[in-house]
Amino acid sequence: MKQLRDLSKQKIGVVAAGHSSVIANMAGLKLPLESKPLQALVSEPVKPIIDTVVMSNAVHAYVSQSDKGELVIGAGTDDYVSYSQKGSHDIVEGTLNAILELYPIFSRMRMLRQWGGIVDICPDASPIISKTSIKGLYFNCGWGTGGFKATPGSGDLFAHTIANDEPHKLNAAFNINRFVSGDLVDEHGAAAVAH
Amino acid sequence: MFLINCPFCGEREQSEFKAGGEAHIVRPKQPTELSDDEWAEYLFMRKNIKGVQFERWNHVHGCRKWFNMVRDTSNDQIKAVYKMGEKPPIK
Amino acid sequence: MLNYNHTIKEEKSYQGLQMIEMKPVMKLIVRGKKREFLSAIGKSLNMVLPTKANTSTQSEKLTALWLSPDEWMIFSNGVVKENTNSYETETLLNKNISKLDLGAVVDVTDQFVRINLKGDKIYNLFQTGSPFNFNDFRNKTGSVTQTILAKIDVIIHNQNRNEVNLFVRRSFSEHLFAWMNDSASRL
Repeated sequence: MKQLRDLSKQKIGVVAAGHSSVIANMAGLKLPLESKPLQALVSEPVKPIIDTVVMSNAVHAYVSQSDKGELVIGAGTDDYVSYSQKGSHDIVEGTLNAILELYPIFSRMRMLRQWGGIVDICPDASPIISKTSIKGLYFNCGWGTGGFKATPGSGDLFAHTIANDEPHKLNAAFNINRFVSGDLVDEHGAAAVAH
Repeated sequence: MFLINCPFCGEREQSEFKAGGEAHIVRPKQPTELSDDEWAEYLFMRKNIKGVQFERWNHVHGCRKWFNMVRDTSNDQIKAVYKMGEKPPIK
Repeated sequence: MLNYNHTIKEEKSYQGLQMIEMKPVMKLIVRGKKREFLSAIGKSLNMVLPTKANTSTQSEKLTALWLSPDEWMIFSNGVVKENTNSYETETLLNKNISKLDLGAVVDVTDQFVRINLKGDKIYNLFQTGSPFNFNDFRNKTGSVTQTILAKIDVIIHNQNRNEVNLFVRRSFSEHLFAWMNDSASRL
């Protein structure tokens, strides 16, 4: 595959989540990412029962209740690369096992929807907001199973990086070169699972 | 969720297996002579293909043998399964 | 069997299902790839190791289970009488296999627990917690499979029609047996 060298006068910022590698491959670039299905489930709506987000790293589960009354449930990814947007049944089973460990009262809940989103995971489970070896090509990727709450901040820093062709001091550590220098961000060690 | 035809045990459910990532990445013979870029390329950079991908799997809850698989990652269809060290049956 | 405490204390009985731990039973894992390894085992034990996947062979005293192309489990059909941790078969194989560098012999007597299940509800029980398709397995005496039961790694051997041996790691055995009882009570 031929790698592009320079986008000359243009600048392109790529924010493609699970499909980041697909875009990178078009430019002949390989990223340190693996894309995997992350499943979530939504239950039938019920009256208010939990008023906070509950996340357990011990049994590995996530649950919160939406304004409409549905329980939103999630957990870990499948361990194989896939863009099929559907995960394995045993992951769903493990997720619900964990939820029932915390809340036996949910055992009679019916699930209305289940889906798999594709998440791009870095070896150190931290995002990349960075320049690349191709001049004018920038990536904001590798958010993996996290990221929603960081969206506005990451957008701001990504815009700064593209405009100045240099990272802001807040995202300097999240450069793609850390996989060459070895200066990884140890998010796996810090958060163990979801974050 | 799919069935995998283990080359040693026969057809089993995917939950008996562990995915081992991209296949046919050759460990450099003399790591000390590589540049940091080349070492990072070997260690971290992945094709992460959407489409037909060559990968390693381990029948971890069965015979515990490693083998290779060709799978379309866009729909999880398995194209071929072959033993370690064998040439891929398809390109 | 020095200072060996059994994890499963009692026999359990349900409609169409009986479960009991067979103890003490000698269990060995043998590994080897060479042709000489297979013939040395054959001569030493007067039985051949199964080379066909998911099968077993049996002599008067011993059963050999296929686990992988280069790994087998050998266990004594009956219970071992002596109160000891050394076995004639192991000593013999150590001499004829390990010492000659043909393969490896490991005593796993205390690592695995052998649970014997009898009755026509065995496979109904397995269905509640295993991803394995037992349709062919149940009709073929001597079949062997390694799979998952209630998320626990197990080795299952079809001894006779409606009789199987289930091997599970000792540290998981108490939990698995509790799960099996719970599940069996609801069949």
